[in-house]
Amino acid sequence: MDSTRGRVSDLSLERYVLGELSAEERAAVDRARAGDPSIDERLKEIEASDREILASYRPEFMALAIEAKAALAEAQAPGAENAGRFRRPLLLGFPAGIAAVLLIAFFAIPRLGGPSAEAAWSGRDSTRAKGGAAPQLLVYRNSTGGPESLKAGSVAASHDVLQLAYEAGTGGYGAILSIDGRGSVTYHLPEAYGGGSRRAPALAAQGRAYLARAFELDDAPGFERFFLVYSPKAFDLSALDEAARALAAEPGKARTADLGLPRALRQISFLIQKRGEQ
Amino acid sequence: MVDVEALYRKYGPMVLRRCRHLLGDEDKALDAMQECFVRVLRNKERLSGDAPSSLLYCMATNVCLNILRSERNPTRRAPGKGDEDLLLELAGQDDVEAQGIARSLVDRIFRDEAPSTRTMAVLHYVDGMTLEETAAASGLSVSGVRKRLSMLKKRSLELEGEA
Repeated sequence: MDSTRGRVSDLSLERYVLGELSAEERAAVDRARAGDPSIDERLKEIEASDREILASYRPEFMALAIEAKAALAEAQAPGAENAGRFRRPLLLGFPAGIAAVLLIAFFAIPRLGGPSAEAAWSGRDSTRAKGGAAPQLLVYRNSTGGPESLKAGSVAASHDVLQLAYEAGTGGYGAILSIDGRGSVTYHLPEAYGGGSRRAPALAAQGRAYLARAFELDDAPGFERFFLVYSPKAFDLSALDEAARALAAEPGKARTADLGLPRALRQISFLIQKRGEQ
Repeated sequence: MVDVEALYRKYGPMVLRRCRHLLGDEDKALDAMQECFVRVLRNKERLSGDAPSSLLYCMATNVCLNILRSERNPTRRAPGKGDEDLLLELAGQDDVEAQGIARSLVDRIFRDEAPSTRTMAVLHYVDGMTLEETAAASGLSVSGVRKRLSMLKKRSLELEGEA
């Protein structure tokens, strides 16, 4: 604590909340709290922010993203060593050591350009990209045992929390959206897009990219179908949006039909069926 | 073995808050936060058993300053703080003309300095941490931090005299 400046530093308060101050340091902060009510407000802000961040960026999914990045960095580093360094005891139901090796191999496969076991789990490639590894759309569900990788056609329930990820192969530009049985169109990448002219964001060129926020299924009946639409060249989202809304207007078709996109755009879809209505 | 989920659950919010504060952009802050934990996993940074929070906080500062520094090209700079803006807080200049002079000085002051010195300067002069707190966060001794900042101050005075 900085008694000379009369202000407890942000780091001191962070460590106070984490319980990592020494007894002496903690006592100093407590003395400061007694004389300055704003310190309690700052502590409450930290605690509220903790809740907000852990709700928005769930630990089980964020751990996947961090491990994927670390595995990619390891695979690309000269003299890379693949050790069972990462502990994910509940990953895919395998024991920790095997899970670690599988995790690293799993994320290295797209870099090798070969087929992936995960390809069978992701959505149908309506139009396969020429050359290189095919882009993939992946969906995980938060479960009591940890993240569960879903297969296309899996059944999920209202309020299930899903984490989306993609592998773009050679990068390019793209968007991820979903159409539900109620005819609603929801954009997941870019997250805040609500229609109109806007350039599609650049896709991550290597490895697996997890979307920033998880997605909670609402009570829309029938299904939630996710689409990854991509192109090696930049494109305007308005053409995609027009096609998405046209398909969403016909729920009977939206479960299985392709988006009516311009020829330059490719698409992958991933169907989640809603429980009770298979 | 590192339990990534447990590590993130405990320290992730603190790191993300720090990155948000420095970068002012949620996507960049999220990337920077993940980079900190990737560094831990890859053993580039070893967490001290005594004060992992301090090391992660300092690491986040360092990662963010590197990001800001890489965006020095004005055409690439996103809205939010650039590293020069951040360090201009050191100069405490409001006057536009003085800001220009200070910006030039800040650039010259830090041009040949180690990234860790920039981090220490932000922690001490911008965040208001004591020398002891800065030392704990940086993993250096108090005397080491004092010496580094003293030399920085001396260099800034010399350059100011040239301005």
